[in-house]
Amino acid sequence: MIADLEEVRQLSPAQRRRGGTTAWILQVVSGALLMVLLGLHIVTQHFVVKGGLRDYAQVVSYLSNPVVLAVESLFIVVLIWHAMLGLRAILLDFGFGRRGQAWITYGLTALGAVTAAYSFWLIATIAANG
Amino acid sequence: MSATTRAGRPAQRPLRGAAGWARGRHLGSVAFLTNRVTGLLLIAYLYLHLGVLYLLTEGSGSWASVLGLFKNHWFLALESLLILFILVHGLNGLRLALVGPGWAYATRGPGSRPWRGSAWASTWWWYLPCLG
Repeated sequence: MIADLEEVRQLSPAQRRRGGTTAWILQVVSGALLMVLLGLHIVTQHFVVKGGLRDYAQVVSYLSNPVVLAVESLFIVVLIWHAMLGLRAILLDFGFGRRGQAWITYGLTALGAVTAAYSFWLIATIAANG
Repeated sequence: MSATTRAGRPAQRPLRGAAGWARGRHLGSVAFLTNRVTGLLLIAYLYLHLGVLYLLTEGSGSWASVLGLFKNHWFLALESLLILFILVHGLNGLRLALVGPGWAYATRGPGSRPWRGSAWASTWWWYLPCLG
């Protein structure tokens, strides 16, 4: 196992040039943030609510709070960032060439941006009903 | 007559399926694959969740109808599975983050501290009782 881990840890110069280390650090940082933000999301959405689920009025009222809106927005950004980086790491392991890797990065950046835009529109629309 | 090894011990029957695949592989490889599979499942859930939340934009009637589905026992079982995946992915991810820079496992050679390896190896298992 240690030998396996050494292989993972020691990136080649080419991998470093492609941003392998930076992507890994960002993945770890976003993962650590997610542990806090996801925990907060689950607790506030389910654990502190009677019956475990918010009804429509409760959801609207909850999202109308600017602090909640800011935390949920941060949660969306970090979650999508982490998910797209993870998906990119999986796809890059299939051994695509440089052109293929660039397409994967551009494609996932676009997918992440569209997902984030939809999520922001969603919470803005719900909050506006309050 | 049953098959025996050179040492005269009875040969173990080969395991099939997931248990067979995992046998003989490093714990790190199994953990790595587990993290990726749970990660992909969580991404699929993210899009499903965002799709369901669209109902909130259509008013209280749509949301009330889907709340009934959320209280179904089958749905609660799937939710439990989701929490399990989140825990496995999150805690195993934390373990990988600690192992990656060498904070968790001692490296071989001079200056290695095997006690650190033993201490951190337990991080892979400690969360299991939490899931029960």
